[in-house]
Amino acid sequence: MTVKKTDGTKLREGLNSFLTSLIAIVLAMIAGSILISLVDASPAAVFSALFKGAFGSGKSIVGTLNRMAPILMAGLALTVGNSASLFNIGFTGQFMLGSLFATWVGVYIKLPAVPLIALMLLAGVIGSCLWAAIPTWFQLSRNVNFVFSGIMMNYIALYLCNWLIMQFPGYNAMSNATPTIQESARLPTILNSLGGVNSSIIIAILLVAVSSVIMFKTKVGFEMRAVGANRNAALSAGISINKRMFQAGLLSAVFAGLGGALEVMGSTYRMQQDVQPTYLVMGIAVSMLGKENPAAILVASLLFAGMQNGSTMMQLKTGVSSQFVMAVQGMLIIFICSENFITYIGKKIKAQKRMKTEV
Amino acid sequence: MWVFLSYIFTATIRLGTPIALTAVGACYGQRTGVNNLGLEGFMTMGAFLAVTGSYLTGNPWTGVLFACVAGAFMAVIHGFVTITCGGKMAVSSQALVLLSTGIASVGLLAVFGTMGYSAQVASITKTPVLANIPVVGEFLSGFSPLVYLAVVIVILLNYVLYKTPVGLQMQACGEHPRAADTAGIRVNLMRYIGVIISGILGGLGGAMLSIGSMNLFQEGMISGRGYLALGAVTLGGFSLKGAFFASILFGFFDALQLYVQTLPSFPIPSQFIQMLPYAASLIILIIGSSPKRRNKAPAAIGQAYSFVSGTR
Repeated sequence: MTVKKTDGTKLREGLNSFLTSLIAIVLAMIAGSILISLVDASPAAVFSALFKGAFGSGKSIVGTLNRMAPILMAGLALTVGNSASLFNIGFTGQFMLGSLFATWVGVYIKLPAVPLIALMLLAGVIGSCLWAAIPTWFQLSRNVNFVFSGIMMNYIALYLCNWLIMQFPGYNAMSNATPTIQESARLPTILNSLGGVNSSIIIAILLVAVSSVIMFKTKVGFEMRAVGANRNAALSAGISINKRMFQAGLLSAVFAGLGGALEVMGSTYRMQQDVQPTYLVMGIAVSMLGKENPAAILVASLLFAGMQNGSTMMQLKTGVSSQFVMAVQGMLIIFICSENFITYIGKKIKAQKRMKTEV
Repeated sequence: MWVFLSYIFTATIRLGTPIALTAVGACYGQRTGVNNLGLEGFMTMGAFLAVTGSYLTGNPWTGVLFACVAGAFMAVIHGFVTITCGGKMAVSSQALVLLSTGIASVGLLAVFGTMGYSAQVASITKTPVLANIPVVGEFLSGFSPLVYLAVVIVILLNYVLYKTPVGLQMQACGEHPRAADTAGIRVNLMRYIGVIISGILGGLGGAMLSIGSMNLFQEGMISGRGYLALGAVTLGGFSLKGAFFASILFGFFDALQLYVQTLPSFPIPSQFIQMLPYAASLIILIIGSSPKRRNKAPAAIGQAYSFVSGTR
């Protein structure tokens, strides 16, 4: 009986958070429509082109799925950090270093496919963890603001990668890129009849499961979440806060590095100069929509991958800049951030109704 | 040598002013207790709307006005999310950056019909009025009037924050909102004012970059200067004067970086030179902080005080 009761409240909570997320999405679309009308285009045409480009045909669905893996990894990285109340804004730099290390292995180490791919993933993790350890360590030892140092590390990573890419033997000066990785380092495609979905998405989905096992079924994960939920309570329960936060920072970086490696193995096959990935903000949005729920994280990253994929067709058909999706994503985050307001209004309306029925 | 010094000095002023304006504004926001990492967004909107205003009316000062309004508009959004709703400040700031990048890009295509760059517009990079002053006139007139405006604003704001009742009330909201509330101060109103001042100055900083030192808008032209302004606030110990001088220091590193890039056959690769402003600010901050040093940030920074989130 009691079990059933807790299930009921859980279900209701889940439904409520789903509803607020849905309201936030609708509000973001309305605000986006206002922006579109300001630049003299038709909101209906823009959104339908965006949707068709994202999910309209088999080919576009394949494209969306192919873009999903790094977004999913960004969502996981930010979710893990948020659980320990650590805002991993240095994600971008970690992702780039992860890609770079993985590319290096993919180009030069001669191995058969399976060990090579495993080694590339490992290299990505090492690169990103080295990069993340610097700001995390300075935060804990010298009290240097983690967020600020993370932002600076992102810019430093961009220029460092620009330089390192030029040091690759066989650097391609025409395209400002590293040589492409070996055939055996590329992830195979599945569902080839539809046009070939990259298997990076399978690895990414497996990692979602791994992350929720770590966060919800192990002691380390539990203590990380305890630190995030209430630092003082965690301290008095004997949890070593600094240690757990350092671990959470590194775990977040692990997902960043895996994301970087998956992107190289799955879609780009090389690394280009002056390309700063924009997965950080998508990761923020995914982690806020996902709320530590694996299924919700999957749906949210599918949504964002769709938006990225559909934006090209939208620009072709309607002449609205493809960066429009950035504005929509920004507004979406703003509305999710103000979800307290939505629940507050909901409570007010309920209270008023109760007043009326009592009168 | 003389050429080098005068180049560095001019470039430091030109590049330091936008950071200084934004950082001084940010101090107001931080002092009232609202953390804001989204200064980059204020600057982007300011830079873009300054160029748009100048393009539409032909008068660069309209552009400056547009920039201030745009900054204030973004600030109100940040204020609503964080002050009224108690949302996460760091996350809302990132959304502002994203939103402003998106709006600038969509607007660029809609207003100018181009991607990446805007058309060239009327700008205010010189102050011809000052040319009549003997000896130094020619030198002084080489700066944008916005530089002089910035000096006036910084002195004025410094006076307001530290010497007037309103300024002290604003600081109280950042130190202990509940105590301030008990003393009859309208905490959230003060916080809104702080954030809006931050937005206006951030917009002005963006305008200084686009029409104060160039004559067009270019996507990504802010390139982290908003974040440098944030670093300047931290480095300056959350005081207005400190933030101002720290910004000038960052402007100097930026100027140095530009100068060294113009040298032919410099031994260090250009990527490391481009890294300089960011690496220098990080290293200075690491040296400047220690576990024992008292944290100078306002005590209640980042804490919402609102009925909506139940923290009041």
